[in-house]
Amino acid sequence: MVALSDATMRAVVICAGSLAILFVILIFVFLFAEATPILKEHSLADMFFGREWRPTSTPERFGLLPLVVGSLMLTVAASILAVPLGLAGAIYIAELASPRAQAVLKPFVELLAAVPSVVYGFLGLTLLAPLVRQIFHLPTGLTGFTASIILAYMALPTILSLCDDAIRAVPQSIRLGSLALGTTKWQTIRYAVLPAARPGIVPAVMLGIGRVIGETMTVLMVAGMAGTVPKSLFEPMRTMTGTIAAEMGEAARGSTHFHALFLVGALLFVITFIINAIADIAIRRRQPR
Amino acid sequence: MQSVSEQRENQSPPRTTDKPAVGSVGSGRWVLPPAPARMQVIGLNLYYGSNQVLRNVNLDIRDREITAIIGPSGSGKSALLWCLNRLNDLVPAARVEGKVLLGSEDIYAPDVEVALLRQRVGMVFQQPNPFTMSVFDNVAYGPRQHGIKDRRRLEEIVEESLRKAALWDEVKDMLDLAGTSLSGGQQQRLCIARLLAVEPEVILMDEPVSALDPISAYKIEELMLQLCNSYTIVLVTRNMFQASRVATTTAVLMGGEVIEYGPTEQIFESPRDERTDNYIRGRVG
Repeated sequence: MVALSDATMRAVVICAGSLAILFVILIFVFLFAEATPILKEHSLADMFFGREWRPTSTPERFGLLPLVVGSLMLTVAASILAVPLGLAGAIYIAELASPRAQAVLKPFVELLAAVPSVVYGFLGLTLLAPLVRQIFHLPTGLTGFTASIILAYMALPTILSLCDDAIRAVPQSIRLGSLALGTTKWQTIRYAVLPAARPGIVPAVMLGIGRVIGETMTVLMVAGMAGTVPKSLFEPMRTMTGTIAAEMGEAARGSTHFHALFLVGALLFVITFIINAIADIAIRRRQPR
Repeated sequence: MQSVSEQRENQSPPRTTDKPAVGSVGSGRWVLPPAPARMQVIGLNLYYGSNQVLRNVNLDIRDREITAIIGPSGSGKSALLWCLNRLNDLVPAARVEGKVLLGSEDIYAPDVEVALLRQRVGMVFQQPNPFTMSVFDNVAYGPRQHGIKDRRRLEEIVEESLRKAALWDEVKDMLDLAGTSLSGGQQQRLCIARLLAVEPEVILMDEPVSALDPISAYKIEELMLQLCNSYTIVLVTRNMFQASRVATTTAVLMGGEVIEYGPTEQIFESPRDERTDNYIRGRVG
């Protein structure tokens, strides 16, 4: 009976695990199969270095550069804002806050993570965009800068909450060991606790950045969706995700536009994959054997 | 290397002087010869909230000797040890009355810098707690935090500290390996090396071998006997045989009170207090 249930469980687990891998492979295959027909009409080089995305003009232009540059600029800017703030917030909540402050702050932060992205988009559109337009004297407040602030705000709870978990999971003996060597509290946090929490902090940051790259609704609402390559953060910009979301409904099935959007999806997939791989290597490399 | 028992004899000079050391209990045949006290605990009371953990503790920690603190679980041994480098500051609602002198300074005086105090009075814990970094970085951690940047100097300190901790020969070819990948006994010696690298005066050991196998424990006991030539050691242990093997002076703690304090032989051969007698013979505790 025990042996049987062991075998059954083993089979179930193997099935579940293989299915997950199979789905990823199928998505990959499907994306690329739907994307390749466009290569008959437009060369890869033309698209990758094309500086204009104008799918409905004649002749139609499927330059991917505005999308890729837009996505990367937004992601980098949002990460620069969100990662230090998230980590600092986590250090405060895990190491410095009083137990009472912890009990209030942690659930509050987790609540922020549950707010639907459309609500953040709405706030950005009505509150932040006019403010950005006035302060920086811009023709429009719907810029990459506005979007990165909102995106950072959305990634912050994820990063903060997971970093907090990682820091808290560091055994107290590490802190005691460091303090007993005559280091200050700050030295202990910076040089003993954070290195010990590193295997948890890196995935936390990557998940936060992943949320930024994958976020669609907010950028659709506040980033401005321009079709040209942005020259600065204070211009309207367009992202890969936003483009797919906005145009998939209008593109005729099987049209060049339709296949172009699949190509964008495939590209997004590859970029996410690369970022995950980098994160994985970063975790492994800095750990001593 | 000498056996523990031979070293033991080298460590304990004949006790013939009739002048008792400050804070020692009683008089008569078994009194401590005068020796400079590195630390003095004077009238120490410790409270965790409304719970009194230590009651009027008076104790001398003699220079470059091993002082053992023994007693049953919950008698306040570790709490007393944690008072000596103010790790108790980290316990919420902990409150201390009385004095603890290091040399002639009261470590609970308001102007004391706790980090500097802990450089002088270091601690080894029950569970080996190497940092999640390489063996080298573990030992170099303290010196680096205290401002030593020069790589050559750090390499010297690391080698010297590992040699003093009797670990160098075992790890000299794997200094880049994670400290946590060593065996338990090696990890504990790594923690001792890490401490020696900051050149403390006093080493507090909180049941340093109770999580280790007998052979590793034996190595650490040998190490303690070597170290007490240059360092003052305070050892908290539940293992009475260990106390009798390594300690020159022993204090027996029960219910937060020092019920007996004197030369280790006296405690084990002719205790004055009936409770000590019962405890040592295994009737209580």
